[in-house]
Amino acid sequence: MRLWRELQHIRPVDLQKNFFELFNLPVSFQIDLDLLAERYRAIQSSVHPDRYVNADKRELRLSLQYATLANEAAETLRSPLKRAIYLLQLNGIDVAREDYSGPMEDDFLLLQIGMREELQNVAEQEDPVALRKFRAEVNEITLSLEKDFVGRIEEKGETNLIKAETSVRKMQFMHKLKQEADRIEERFLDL
Amino acid sequence: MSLLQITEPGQSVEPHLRKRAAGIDLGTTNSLVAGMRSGVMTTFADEHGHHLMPSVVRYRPEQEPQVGLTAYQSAKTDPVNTIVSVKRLMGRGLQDIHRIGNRMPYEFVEGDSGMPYFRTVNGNISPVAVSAELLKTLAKRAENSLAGELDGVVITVPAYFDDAQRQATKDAAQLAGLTLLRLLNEPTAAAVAYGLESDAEGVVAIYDLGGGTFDISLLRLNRGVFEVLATGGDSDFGGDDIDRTLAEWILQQAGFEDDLSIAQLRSLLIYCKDLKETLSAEESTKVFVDLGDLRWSGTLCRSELNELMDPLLNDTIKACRRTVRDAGIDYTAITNVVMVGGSTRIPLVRQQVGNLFGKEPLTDIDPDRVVAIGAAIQANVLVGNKSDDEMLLLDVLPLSLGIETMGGLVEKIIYRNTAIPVAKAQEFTTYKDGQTAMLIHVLQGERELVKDCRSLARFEFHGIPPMAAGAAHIRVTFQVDADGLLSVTAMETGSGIETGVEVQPSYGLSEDEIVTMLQESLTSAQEDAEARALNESIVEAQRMINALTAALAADSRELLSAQEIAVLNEGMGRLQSVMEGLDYQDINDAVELLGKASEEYAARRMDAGVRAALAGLQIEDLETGLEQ
Repeated sequence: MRLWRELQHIRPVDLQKNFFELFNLPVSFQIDLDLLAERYRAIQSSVHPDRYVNADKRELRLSLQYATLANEAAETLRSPLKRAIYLLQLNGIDVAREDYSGPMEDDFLLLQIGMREELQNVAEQEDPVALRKFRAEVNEITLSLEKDFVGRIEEKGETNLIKAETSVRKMQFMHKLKQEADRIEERFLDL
Repeated sequence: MSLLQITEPGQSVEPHLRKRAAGIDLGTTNSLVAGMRSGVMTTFADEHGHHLMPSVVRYRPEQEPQVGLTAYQSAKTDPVNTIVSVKRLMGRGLQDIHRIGNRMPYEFVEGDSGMPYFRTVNGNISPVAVSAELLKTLAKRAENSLAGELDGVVITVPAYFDDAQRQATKDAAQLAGLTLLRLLNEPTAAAVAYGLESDAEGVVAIYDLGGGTFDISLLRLNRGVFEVLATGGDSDFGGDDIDRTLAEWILQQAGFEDDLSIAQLRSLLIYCKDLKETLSAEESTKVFVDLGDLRWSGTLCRSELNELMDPLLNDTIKACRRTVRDAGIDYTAITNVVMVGGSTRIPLVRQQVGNLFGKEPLTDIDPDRVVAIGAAIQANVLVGNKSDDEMLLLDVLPLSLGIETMGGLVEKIIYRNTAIPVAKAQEFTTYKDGQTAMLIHVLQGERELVKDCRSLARFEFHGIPPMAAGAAHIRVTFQVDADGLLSVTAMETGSGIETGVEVQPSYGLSEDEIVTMLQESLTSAQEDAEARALNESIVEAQRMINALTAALAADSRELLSAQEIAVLNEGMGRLQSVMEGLDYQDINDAVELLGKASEEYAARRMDAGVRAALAGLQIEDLETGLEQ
């Protein structure tokens, strides 16, 4: 979001828009990704620095910033996790803050420990079938967390927002597991 | 040779209104230049009809260097002064050379910023200066073909080039006196040439194996928008390496264990290149080496060569698999595979790539020329010869950017395959009371350790107000532009003071070196510098007036108040009056003032453009909806 402030500093107009509004999309977790891709291309076709090669330096710089912003916005909205974090941010919750001391339910802690162990076993046994199964499991849990998140964020209200944040923190953990599974898979595939 | 018809008959722009643009493929082994002639995009030949120009420069005492074929022909007899494959040294440091240098028959000396210079009979020459000679010759060829001075060029670089290699290429363009419109990734250029010719839509894989570099890019083609999904490769592997492997095989067969002389090595490598090319057409060939004390004869068949190449090509296939994975797509989603680069003529390459993607690779457009053609198409668009809404290239950062943290580790700040332009800001803080300076080491690469990544630059921030440890915050913004080049800005966020920054590029030429080289290339440096500064100011001022006049005519009523219009008109009037004087400083000041005044307007126009683009889409959706 720092870039955002920089842009405001140069151009206090119209760009109070958030990432969703930039693409003319409803501020919601459930967005049409094809529509996003299409509008992303349309916006880049209008603001990309290649359209301003013959413009003066300021205008070129403005176009660079606008194209950068469009890229950041599209990247944020494309990823379900980043989109969820961004939605929390629009509701005044910074997931990256350092003083977070919210609760993690015991059963989720147990699930974390169990899944870590499972992944370690998969890696040690170099078993691609088990890895596929593990990834499917991570996907399934992630989907149910996303569903939970949608319910909470759309209801608003303080309690719901706190619950929504908890869901996002769980999604973050699942995302990390998925990344580790990716790395193990890369090893299996000899990449 | 395949030709691309760009303009519709009867719609071509009047010849005298056309700007002259060229696309330059600056290759490791060969280079090409292309442009539009008589409405047709074509590569340009020299006076002997050769399109490919060997990327070779030969330095001679107190004479202009020889460039291209004549230089190539003396590579065997004068190897030390004849620079081949200079692209491999662009943006590289001496420590890289110690590795590559053993394979290269040159003498190196260290330049001011650790850059390797070739020791030649005509003095010490940097790789950037060698590349500039190649560029000058190619540009001259284009100017002869287009009958006039070039307004701008697009130069291609391997997609996998890092920041230092890109910067070095840009420096070479500056040194050659060219107006660089854009650095374009080679596979993206190839996709443009291919996509526009075939009207293809969908996901295309571009496998580009040149003399010294390898790239794999996956692009989505959608109504004139070329969107790179992921890219991978090796900027230090190419057909040259196959020649070298073949040379080692011959030495082994011959039982030759002594060191080869520079001339012998150069001759043997050239011979091996010919052998390799022969075996792309023939099943087997006779080998006859007679180089002084190195003599050997025998036969070599294609399957033997394949065996030698197999482990090398395997790495490229692995890179393809990794890139498909990075793109997050399935092999079945890839509609076409296009081969680019001379080395893709090798049957084994085609076979392995075909096997991996499960498709016959396309070779319809000459793999040597397709990159230059694509670059020329882009140059033509950027220079302003085509209307704006037709083609757009969206590229990605090939290698992650990061900074050094405790313990020699790299913390990634921008990940590879992120769409560019991109910016990320990071806060740094002081760790000692009263600390007034800070060093930030920027690296590029995928590995975790500093020593395994490429060092781009060290930034020293000084003039931080003395405060308690942790109280000063420096916000560093890393901006990668559309050329894939990084720039860094820093600000102390507590006091809002822009801190002084000193940049030490790890390998590139320093700003001073460039200036010195530019001055050396001018005969009467002082006069020229003054005249040039004035000229540049006038050009910039005129450009601004033209752009603003056109903008005001188009949409000032919708976007500006009467008062705002009056302010801009007044600023233009002031600029016009100082332009009649001969003081470039006055002109620059007026440009600056008008620029500030018009910034808000520019921003509103950009917003309006975005609104119009999105509205256009909705109308289209509505129309398709009605049709259905």
